[in-house]
This record gives sequence, structure tokens and C-alpha cells, in this order.
Amino acid sequence: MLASPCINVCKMDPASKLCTGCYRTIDEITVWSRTDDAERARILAAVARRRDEQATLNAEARGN
Amino acid sequence: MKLELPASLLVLERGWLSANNILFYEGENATLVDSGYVTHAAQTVELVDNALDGRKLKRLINTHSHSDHIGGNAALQAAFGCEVIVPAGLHAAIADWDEDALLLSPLGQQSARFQHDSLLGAGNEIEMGGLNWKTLAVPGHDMEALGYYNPEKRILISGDALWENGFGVIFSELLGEADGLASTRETLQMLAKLPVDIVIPGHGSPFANVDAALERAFRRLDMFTAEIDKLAWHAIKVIVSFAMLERRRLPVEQFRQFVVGLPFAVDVNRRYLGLDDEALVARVERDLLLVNALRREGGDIVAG
Repeated sequence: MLASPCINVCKMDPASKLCTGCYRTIDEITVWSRTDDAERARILAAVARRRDEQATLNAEARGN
Repeated sequence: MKLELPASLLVLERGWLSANNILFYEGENATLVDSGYVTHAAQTVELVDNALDGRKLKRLINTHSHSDHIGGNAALQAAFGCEVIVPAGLHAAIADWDEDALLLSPLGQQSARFQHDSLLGAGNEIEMGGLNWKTLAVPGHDMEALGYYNPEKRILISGDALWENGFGVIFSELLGEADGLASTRETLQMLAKLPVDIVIPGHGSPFANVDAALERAFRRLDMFTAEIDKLAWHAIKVIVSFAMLERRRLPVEQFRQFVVGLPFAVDVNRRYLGLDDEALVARVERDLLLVNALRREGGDIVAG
């Protein structure tokens, strides 16, 4: 089974409604233990996309 | 392979700083086992609220009283008005909020004080999610810990007494308070006799290959029993990495001061290892960097 992306930060960002550590929604964290690998792969792909988007936003906020 | 757990039970899989939370559906009501670490309490409340989907959280039950299992108790009690039930042997430590007995001060951890409403002893039965669970004494990692076992579905909620790869640090042995190694052995022997198809551990995913997990646990216990220094060193590493999961990032110098100021690390080092401060810190740093539990980023030490 694909492993959870949790990195023990476990705090929600009220603006994005995503966990600031693993970039999952509350729904995605809630159902994680019941998901199969296909669903996990879909969530992990979304996580990777959101992480990139956040990195871009952070870079813009820093002005570079 | 995906495990088939009863529909009346949902595992909220967390990480290492927060233990897993297990939600049992009981019609319009629900029961939760364990509540995570205090700094994650807001997310725990949000997860539980989402999973409740309109039901009422009636009871919160703990497997044992370590900070990563009870840290959300106060927040859940405040949010849902649930009854809090703890293993009977922990009554005094929790009622008096004994930060030494709860291992908060020695390990440099925090929690939020709560009051329990009732106690649960070993050798009883408790109904959760429409299933009957036997309460098992599983001393070792925590001498007062309880496991919950359903014989019908052959499911064991093990807390930190058994994980897929090992078990929680045997603190009592290292603190000279009880024969933790012998208790751990008795606990594993007792668990090995139970017909178990699925274990829901305190940390990590639920797992089905129980025999292999027990074999690994016995091997690890044999190693610690043969060489107590290995248990001492393992414990120091675990506690430092746990502390760094909470702190996330410290300048190198602060990290070093933190390690040599951690009462448990100092005490265990003095009893079993006898390293001077500099050697202790250097070895912890090296070992944890090596397994990627920590990273160096410029002048900082960062949780892996």
C-alpha cells in the first residue's frame, strides 16, 4: 500500500483548507485508511500539485 | 492489500507525533479511542467532527497516558462534551496531573490537562461500534496500558504494545521503576496466543501479518534484553526525534543545548552509557541524520 504523506505537522490552513504539512483536505485525511492504492495515488498526485502551487505562491510573496 | 475492517469502525491514521484515532459508529452516537498530540488538537477535533457526520461523540477512551495519545482529550471534551475514560492504573497520575509520572517533564513534552470521568480496568468488556471488546493489560511500554480485543472479528487495538515494526520504548526499565523488559515479554507472549487477524496499532497503518510482526517484536526484545545499552540508546534517539517533530527546526547550538537539557536523555545516558555531553550530542546528531530522522539546513537542524 502507498504510504501516508503525513509529516507530523497536522495543522489546517484556514485559507486553503489544506493541512500545512501534507497538503491534504480534511476529507482526504479522514478516509485515508479506507482508500485503496488507486485512490491513494490520486490523492498523492493532488498533494504534489498543491505543494508546487504553494511553493510558487511563497516565491511570489517573497518577490522573487 | 487493503484490509477489510468493520464498517462501524474508522481509523483516522495519523503520524508519529500524534497517535492514530479510532472512531466507532454506534447509531447516532460514537466512541473514540485516543486523541493525538496536543499541538495537533485543532486538526483532531476537525477530523473527528468530519468523521462523526452529525453523530454525537459520547465517549473518549485512551489506551494509555502518553502525550501522543491523550493530547487531544481536553480539546475533544470541550468540543463534544464526551465522557473521558482512562485505564484504571492511571487514575492518580491524571487526577493529580503528575507531569513526571505522565512522562511529560522528563521527555520535554507538553499536554493539556483534562479530568477523566471514569476508569476502565483489565479483564472487562466494553462495547464499541456494536462489537464487544475485551480489555487486556498490556504492560511494558506503559505499565498501565490497555489493549482492546474483539474475538469475533479477531481485531486487536494494540496501542504502543505492538506495532508492525516493534513497540514503544520501554521507559520503566530505563527509569528503574519496574521490570519493563519482563512485562513486555509477558505481554507479547499473551498477544501471541490470541487469534488475531488484524492489528490496529497506535502508530502506522492497520496490518494483517501479525505473526511476522510478533516475530520482529520478540527479536527486538531479545536484543534489548541481551544488551540494555541498546535499549538506552534507542530510547534517547526516539525521544530526541519525537521532540524535533514538535519543534520542527532548531539552530544547531540550541539543538545541542536541548539534548543535554532533556532530563530523560541525561538520566539514561548517566545510568547506561556514560558519554560526556559533547559525545552524547554528536552521536545523537550523527545517528539521526544518518537515518533521515533529522536534516541539516544551513545552521539549523530540521525534523526529517
